[in-house]
Formats: sequence, structure tokens, C-alpha cells
Amino acid sequence: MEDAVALLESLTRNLDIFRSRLGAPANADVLVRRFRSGAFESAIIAIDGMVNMQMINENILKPCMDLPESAGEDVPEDQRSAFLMGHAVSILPMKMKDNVDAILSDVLGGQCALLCEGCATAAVMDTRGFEKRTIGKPEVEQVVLGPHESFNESIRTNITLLRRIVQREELTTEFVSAGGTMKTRCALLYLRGTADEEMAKKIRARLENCSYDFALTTGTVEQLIEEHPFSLLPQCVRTERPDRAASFLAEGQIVVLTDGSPFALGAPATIYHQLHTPDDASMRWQYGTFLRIVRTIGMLIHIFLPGLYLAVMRFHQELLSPMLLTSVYETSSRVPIPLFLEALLMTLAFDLINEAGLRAPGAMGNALGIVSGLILGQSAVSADIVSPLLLIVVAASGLGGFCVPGYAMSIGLKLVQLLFLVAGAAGGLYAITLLLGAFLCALCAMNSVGSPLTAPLTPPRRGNPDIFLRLPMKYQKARAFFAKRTRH
Amino acid sequence: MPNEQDIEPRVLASWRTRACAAGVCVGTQIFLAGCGVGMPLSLSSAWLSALPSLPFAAWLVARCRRRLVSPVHPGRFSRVWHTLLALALLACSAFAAASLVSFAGATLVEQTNAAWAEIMALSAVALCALSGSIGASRLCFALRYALPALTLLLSLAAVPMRVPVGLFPILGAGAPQLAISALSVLFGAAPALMLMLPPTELVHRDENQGAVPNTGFFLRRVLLGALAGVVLLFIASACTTYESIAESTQWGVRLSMAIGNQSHEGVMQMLLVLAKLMAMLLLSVHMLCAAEQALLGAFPRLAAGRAGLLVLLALLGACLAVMVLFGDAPLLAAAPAIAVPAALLAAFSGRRQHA
Repeated sequence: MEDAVALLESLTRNLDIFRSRLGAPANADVLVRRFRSGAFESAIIAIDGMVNMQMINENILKPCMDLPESAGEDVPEDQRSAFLMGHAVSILPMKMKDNVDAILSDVLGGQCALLCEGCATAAVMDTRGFEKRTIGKPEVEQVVLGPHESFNESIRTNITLLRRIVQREELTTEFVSAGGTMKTRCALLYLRGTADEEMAKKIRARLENCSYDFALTTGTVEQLIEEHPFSLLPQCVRTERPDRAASFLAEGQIVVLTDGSPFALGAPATIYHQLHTPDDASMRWQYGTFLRIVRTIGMLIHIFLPGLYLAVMRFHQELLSPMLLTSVYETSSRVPIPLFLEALLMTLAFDLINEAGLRAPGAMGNALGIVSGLILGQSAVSADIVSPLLLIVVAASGLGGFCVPGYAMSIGLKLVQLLFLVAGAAGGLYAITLLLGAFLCALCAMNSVGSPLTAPLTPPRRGNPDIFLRLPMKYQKARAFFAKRTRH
Repeated sequence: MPNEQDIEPRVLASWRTRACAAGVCVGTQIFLAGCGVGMPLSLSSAWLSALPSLPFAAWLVARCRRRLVSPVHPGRFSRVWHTLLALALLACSAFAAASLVSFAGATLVEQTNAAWAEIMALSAVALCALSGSIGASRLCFALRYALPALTLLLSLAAVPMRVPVGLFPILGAGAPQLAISALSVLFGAAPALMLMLPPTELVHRDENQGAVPNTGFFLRRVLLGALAGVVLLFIASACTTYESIAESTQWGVRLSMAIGNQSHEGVMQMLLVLAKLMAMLLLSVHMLCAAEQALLGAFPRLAAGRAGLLVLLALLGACLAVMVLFGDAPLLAAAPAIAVPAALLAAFSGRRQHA
């Protein structure tokens, strides 16, 4: 990697440096336009397709070229860029830079640089104008009640969406470049005075100091932020909804947006954030509470049911009534494979159908799920390859898995489910209890950006009581325990 | 005396979790001593031997708080004190793990090989301990009401409403031997020794040098947890199944559940057993983590690569292996010999520093 160099006073040499770094003229995307601006020569550097050509033509090129030949004669050479900014160019977002690397980074991001003869400072202007997706409906976090707009891949649009909801002077945006060789622009948003700025510093440091070559997506950025890389559960909360990201800000979280990714990350997060949905807050508290209870039961069924089934069938048959036990043994005796293998295969088959349905294009995915689930399941039972009770257990467990709101969380819990399945087969309820203890201990020891993942339940902290149950609005507090200061 | 409001909330929360964890551990240990799972010799006099653990635990808590106010300085006896404390806590951990295995063997997995059950228990303790005592403390805090309340409810639902034949241990079968009673008392209160060490969250921080909550703060939380143990002991004594556990030649709870007229009784018993297994696991993990902390106080170099924990896990594994080969007798003989000097040393040092 080349060392960072400062701009020179010679325009020709500066352009040579940029051409050399960008591989021009072989690189057809590089636009270098040299022109006369009053009494001296200037040049614009930009990347084709990334910039708004009309804006450059009308707001930079035309006014500069229209200057009389005597314009700028008396201006000192090192002030020429500033002179053009003050007398010709009419673009608001502008920065003066003298470092080739910094200018290149901005140019590659869709901005354009204006260089002048005899001046070692360039004006970098925000002329981004690349194509982007329009704001659409959320695809992962759909709600019945509540707003129906989601983030898109443009970081600027996403920030605007957030600012439209959070119209407060304290809302701060900081840009950070994540990744080693291929840098990705990330934005850290937080409310000054509400969020703990030490946490923002910590996140910024983790993103800036990462040794990973490129962090292109929110998922990679999430892994750079988290503290426990070997944990099965996510340590940041992810959303594609601006309204939910705004609620993160109000709570005192730091929202991380990644350029090119339609998701926002909220950090620090608690384990309870992973079980909440935007619908909970849109409805009356009784309905929200009821849905959360249903969701929690679904999650418990998803994790424990297959393991418990194996444990009871292999070690604790006395828990079943004699009638049920007889019926189960009658059907199980015809199945040629061991119980553990049968359960493992069925669980993996369910995941296979799920994954295939997800990857299959469009409406075919739904049809695939129905065909595979119904026909294959029915056929497998008829052919005595699996017992009907196991099929019910696996289907109920899979259904419970769909209750988990976060996709990342649901995959993590699927792995946990497999661990409990093995434990149930190895040592029955005894092994399940031991594994549960180990899992809970590990969970309670985890932190998200230095904040306990299981707080405010344990360790005890004062803050928003919105954990498992929703309360009437007058008891709800906006700020969480990790916020800078609370209003109580 | 520092006011609780004067202490930073995060630091106070650490102390709260630590104290509650100690309470849950003392409660579980009293239960183990009282119903004869941990110390079978004391079964015939469960109440007589286990109940005095409560005031003794309170006394220990008071001593421990003084130790926290004036932490031990590197000196002549520091290493000896820390080593003894580590060994005492390790003994508690070994007892809890051994009890866990024998209790599970008598109730849940009696057809499973004992060595396999021990390997599973040791693996679980190791996995929990690898997360550090922070995780176990926080879990204890989260379960401080839920676990005893669940156990109490399940016990009440599980105890048959017919003749409470299990009440006989409450009355005591003759006067217990004085020595065994004394050891039981010490055994029941020993987990309170963990309060001599500050929460691990604060070990490398300035907060550790700051104010420590007053004795009442610790006493309230520890005694609340310990009282849960006494309540469990009462229920356990009234419950027929625990008699069969003590006499290992009998079938155990599985048979009781299998022959129960009410099918829900079996499920209740099962859930009751699971709740108690969880309590024993937490006790074992907590004692092991506290032992690691004490060991690092004596030998700071063992912090590298968590060598201290590995050493303690090896010792714990050896203890469990001894139990498989020779039964409970060697551990029973060794535990008081380690716990008594540690408790005496703690009392002595607390008195000197206070003076």
C-alpha cells in the first residue's frame, strides 16, 4: 500500500498522481476534466456513474468556465480553490482537503474533487448521484399496525429517514470507515445526552481498528462490534424499519448504518430486544403482552421440545401415561432407525425444507414448503420411516422457531435446539438440565458493548421496565439502563 | 457505614448479585446437609444439624464484610489464607458436584453409568465456570426468587396428601453425635466464605477500592436465600421420596413416580428434582469460581490462560473419581478438615483487622 501523500502545487503533477492511483486512462470510469476558470486552470476528478453529471455541469463547470479571464488574478495561489468555492461553485456540502488518500476515498464514494493550478488544497463536493432503490415496504419485519417503510441501500437516504422521525437537535451522525483495504462507510447515530458517548467511542474504535479486509454488509459490521465471537446468539439488534431504529435512539442505543445495506444495528442490545417486535409498541399494552407471551412459549417449544421428546422416550417413560406409551411404542417399533438418528434426521429435514423454500424464487418457495412438508411428511409416516409423534414434535418445534422475530436469533436458537437434542439423547432430563445451566451461565456472562446482555433483570439496573411484559404507557420509560442518564 | 445510595449503581448491582448468589448457595448447601444428600451421616438429625447453619452463616457474613472493608494486604499469611480459602471452597464445589451426581442417579438416571453421569456433571461445571463467576452470579440473582418459589410450589404439589411418613427425619432419630452436628453446621454455612472475595467484575477496577455496602445489606440477601433452603428442607423432610434417596439400596423416586396413582404427581416430582439439580449445579459452579478467585489471590501467575481454573477442575475431577472408587467416605473425612481451619482463619483475620 502506498504511503499517504499531500497534494502538490502543480496541477499537472497532482492529476498524474490521481491518474496513476486510479489506473487511468485504462480505467474507463475515471473522469478527469481540465478547464480554464478565470485567470488559472482547474480540473475536476470524479467517477462516472457515481456522480450527478447535471449537478457537476450546472453548478461547478459552467459557473467556473463563465468567469472572466481576469477573475482571480489577485488571489494568492494557495487560496484559488477557496476563491472558486466563494465566487463560482454553488454546491453546499463541501470540504477542503490536502491529502491524496482522503480525496481519493471521497472520489471513490461518489464525490468530486476540484483542483486548481498552484494550490495544494482541493475542494471536495458532495455530488453523489448513483442509482438506488426506492423506499419500499419492510420484507423481514412486516407489521399489522404501524408504519410501512423500510431502509434501502443508500446510507444517506437511511439517515434522512431517521432524521425525519427523530427531529431533535441532539441527534448526531458520525461517519466511520470500516474495513482494511476496501473501506465501507458506516454511520454512527446517537442522541447526545441520552446515549453513553463512551459506547459510541468504543464502537467507533472497533470499526476503525479492525484488521478485516472488507466489511461490506451489516452482518460483517455486527461481527466487528460484538464482544463474544463464539457465542451462538447475536449481541446487537438488527432492524430494517426506521421507526424501530428511532426507538433505539430514544432508548439510548447507538444506531449503526452501513452503506449498501438496508439494515440498521442497535447497540448495546439486551437479549429481550431480540424477542420484541415493532408491533408490540403499536398496539395496546395488553395485546402486546399477550403476543410476547405467545412468542416466548413458541421459542421455548422450539428449543426444548425435540430434546425433551428424546429424553422422555429414552430415559423417563414413566412420565407418559400407559395408553400413550403403548401407542408410541407400537408405532416406533416399526421404524428401522434409532430414535436419536430419527429425531436428528427429521430436524435437519425440516431445516432443509425451510432453507430450500427461502432460496427458491418467489412464489415457488411457498409451494415448495407446502409440497415438501405435507407430501414428504405423510409419505414418510406411511412408509414407517418416521413415527407420527416425532413428526408432530418436529413440526411444532419448527413452528415455534418461526415465532422468534429476528432471523439471526432464530438460526442461533436452532443450533441451541440441536445441542439440547443431543443432550436429551445422551443423558435425558439430567443432561438437559446441566446444559441449560451452562447455557444460562454463558448467556448471563455476555456483554454487548460493555453492557450486560441480560440486564436489567440480572444484574439489576434501573431503566425501562419493558422486558418480557409491556406495561401501560404511564409506566413505560423511554430510556434503557445503558442510557447516559434516566429521568427517574 | 456507607449508605447504599452513595455507591455507584453498577457497583452496587455487582454486590447485590454476589450477595444473592451467596444466599442461594448457602440455602442449597443447608438443604444438602439437612436432607442427607451431601452429608448422609446427618440425615437422622436433619434439623438438629442443619438449622444452626443459619446463625453461623450470618456470623460468617458479618466477618466477611469486615474483610472486604480492609482487604488483605500482601503479607506473610496472605498466600496461606487464600490457599486455605480456595481449598475450602473447592471442597464445597466437589461436595455439590458429588451430590448432584448421586441425587440424579437416585432420581433421574439410575440406569446410567455413574462414571458417565459424573463426566456430564464435570463437563457442565467446567462449561459454566469457563464463563466465569459473573455468569453464575447473575443467574443466581435472576433465579433468587424463581427457583425457591418454583421448588416450593412443586414440593407442595408433589407431597402426597396422605400420611406424611417422611416427617420422621424432622423429629430426629435420636441425638446426633456432637462432632457430626458441628461439621454439618460448618458445612451448611461454608458457601458464605465466598463473600470474603469481591465480585469479579470489580477485581480489576477502581470500584473495588471504594465503599462496600454495610453488613445488613449482605445479611438480608444471604439469609433470604438461606431461609429458602430451610423451607425446602422442611418440605423435603415431609416428602417420602427423600427417605429412599438416603437409603441408596432402594429404588428411588423413579419407583415412587411410577407407582403414583396420580400421573401429575410424577411430573411434579420430576420438575422438583430438576429445580434442585439446577440449584446444586449453581452451587458447585459458584464455589469453583470463588475458589479460582482465591487461588489467584495466592498465586497470581495462575491467571495466565486460566491455569488456576484448569488446576481446580483437575482437582474436582479427581474428587469425583475418588467418589466413584471409594464412595463418599474420603470426601466426608476431608471436607471438615479443610473447611474448619479456613473458617477459623477467616474469623481470626476479621477480628484483627477490625481491631
